[in-house]
Amino acid sequence: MKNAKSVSTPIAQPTVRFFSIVPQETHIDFMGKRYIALGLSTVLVLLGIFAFVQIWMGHAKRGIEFTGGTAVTLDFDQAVPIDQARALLAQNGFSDAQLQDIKGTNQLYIRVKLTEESEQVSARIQTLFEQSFGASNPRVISTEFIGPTIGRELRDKAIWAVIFSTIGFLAYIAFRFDFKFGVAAAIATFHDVFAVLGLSWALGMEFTLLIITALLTIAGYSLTDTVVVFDRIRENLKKHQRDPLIKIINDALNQVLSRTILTSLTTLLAVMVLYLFGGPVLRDFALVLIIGVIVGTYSSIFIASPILLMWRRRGLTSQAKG
Amino acid sequence: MRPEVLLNWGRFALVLVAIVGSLLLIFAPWQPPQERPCTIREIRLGLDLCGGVTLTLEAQIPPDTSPEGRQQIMERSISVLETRVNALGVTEPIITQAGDTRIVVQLPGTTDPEQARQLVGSTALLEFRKVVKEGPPDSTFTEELDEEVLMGYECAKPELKAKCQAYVVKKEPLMTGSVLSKAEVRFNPQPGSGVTPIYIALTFNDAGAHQWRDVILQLKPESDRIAPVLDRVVYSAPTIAKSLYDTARRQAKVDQSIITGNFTADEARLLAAILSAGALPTELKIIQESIVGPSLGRDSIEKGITASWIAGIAVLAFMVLYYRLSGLVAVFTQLLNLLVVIGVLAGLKATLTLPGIAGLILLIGVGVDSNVLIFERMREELRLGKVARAAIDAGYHRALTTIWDSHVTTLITALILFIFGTGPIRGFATTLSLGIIINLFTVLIGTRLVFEFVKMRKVERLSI
Repeated sequence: MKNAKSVSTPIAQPTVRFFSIVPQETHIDFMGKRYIALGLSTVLVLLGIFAFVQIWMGHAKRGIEFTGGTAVTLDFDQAVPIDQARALLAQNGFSDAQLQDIKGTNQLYIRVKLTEESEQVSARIQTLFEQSFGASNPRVISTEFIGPTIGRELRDKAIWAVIFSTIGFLAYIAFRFDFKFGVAAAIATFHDVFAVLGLSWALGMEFTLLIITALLTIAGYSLTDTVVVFDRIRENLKKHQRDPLIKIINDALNQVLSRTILTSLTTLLAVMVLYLFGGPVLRDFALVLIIGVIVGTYSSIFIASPILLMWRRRGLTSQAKG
Repeated sequence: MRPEVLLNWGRFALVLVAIVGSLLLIFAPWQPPQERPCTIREIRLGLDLCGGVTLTLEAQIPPDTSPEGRQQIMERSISVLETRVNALGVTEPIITQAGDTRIVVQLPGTTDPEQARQLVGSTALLEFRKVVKEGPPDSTFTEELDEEVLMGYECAKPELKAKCQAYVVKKEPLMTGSVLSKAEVRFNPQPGSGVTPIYIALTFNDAGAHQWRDVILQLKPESDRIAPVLDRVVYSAPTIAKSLYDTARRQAKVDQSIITGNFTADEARLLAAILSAGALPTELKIIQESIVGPSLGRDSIEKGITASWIAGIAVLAFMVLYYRLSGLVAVFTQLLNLLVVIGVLAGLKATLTLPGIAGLILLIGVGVDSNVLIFERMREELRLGKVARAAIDAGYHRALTTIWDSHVTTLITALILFIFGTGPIRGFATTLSLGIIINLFTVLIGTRLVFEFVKMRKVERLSI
């Protein structure tokens, strides 16, 4: 932070100072650090691809929307020890039940695989807990049952949503800029989705429809960030045709740096609030958004632009459209 | 008037219409003030926020049915379900067809999953069958080819297990419930004489009354037993009283009958509702079910509203701290944005879900981006030494392309989520896409209006 005073100098003079987080005139050589960034990103993307394969093969935690089954959330007056609850379920034919404490509450989330009589599962679980933990006053506060057909359908829908978003993004960028800008932006967006997927997987998150939604939201956010940078690069390409491309990109990144940081901060502020105060249902969703905002900001500076640079060392200036 | 001034009046009028219109849509002062479940003012809440049961049903239609036949079955099923749900007094139920063979039933306020399942799940095929034998549930019967074993109503109820009986009945029904015109719950003040304290009184239509008389006359009074069987469950197995037999002999038709059983009042009401609505044309299988208790819903909505306030105040306070007076412009723009989004939600009768609230919160964070883009551009122009008015114009125009681009990209995501999302996800996509579209309006019109006002005041210095 350079100076915390608002406008105080006469406007005619070119040394206007603003309250600012980012120094007014930065000349950071972002492009010079591209190899470090590419190294880091390679690791992140590989992690993401690994996580994707794990999820695909069914080795990662997937929400019942995709697997089918029954999920029951119980609330108690006093917290019930999770291993006692697990033992109780195991003795009564639910040996494959997955249990989870909901942090900050006395609630217990129980998931059971699809069985022949899934309709009775929630009632049976409630009876079991009433018999064994009656003193803690167990109450079923929510139940979710997903049949096998729905599970398959939702999975297919999620895949189509990802495919169509990608096509939509590519088409729009190709239309507004040109094909190579489009590909660079698409790569950066894919990078973000995989990086966030990998990090969420490493955190042991359960992949639900809500998490897929968060990932797609991040794709949109990251693309917006990239577009803002690309807009500036294109503008500078027209203004400074003589400059080398690396300087044009670096200048553009520095010019939009304060916007990039500010928007990331306000978005981060909103999703942090969602994480802290939004309740247990939205916590993982908010966490994915937090990771995504950070990764998305990083990628528009360190991934999208370097790809543009490496790919279009020559000839970019003369082809600039728009 | 000069064209710019006219344009500004136009902008002013638009903003005013947006504010007043949204307030009217949200508060709907012409509506009589009445308590409705699942709504805050005119905003409809999803069942994840107000509690209730959501069921997705799949009609088991034979594959060789023609498309018109299918649609007829679906329409008939929906109307039967509606009659049943209304007869039970569920407030504001929503029953819609989803796809070719699916029906989504939303029952706000209902939390008894068993009741909901029975309400929509039972085909309600009522038959009257002749009883051959009865015995304890574990007995082995030797039934004839035209007979089968059915279990009694009590067998599925844990608390009535002791009374559970198995019945050998004729496969061919003597009569079916298609001739029923009405079913009502009755209370018997003097239990005993074979009639339970709560029973269901049936009234047959004209054809049914003739049929029923013939059925009675086929049977031996005080000896043969006839059982009302609903969806292959035996409710009771009474004999035909001598007096009823005599009545049937004297008259051409008998239009009354009763179903007795060990029901509670609630069970009887449910049963009467199902019987009155008639049988479903096909079996409906539950393929998805979601039940949210009222406490969880209340908790979610409280948390959602708290989080919205905190996020709004945090983000907007940040904008004011950072951009001073111009930050107030962002506050105005975003409040206008939120107001109009909620107004349009109310106007479209869209459903606000918990992810929808998350979408609103995200919108506050992302929405100020347009303001940031404009302000940063204005700062750049001021740094270059431009005067306030020129900086406003240049900053605004230069930021515009980027604003369009960023809105379109976010909108692509939101629309795809809307198309492919189901249930609560769709709520997120709805608020997000509405918010993005409306944000474009508030930035292009609202923010512009304020800055035009600043320009008119001949401001020398910008507080930005």
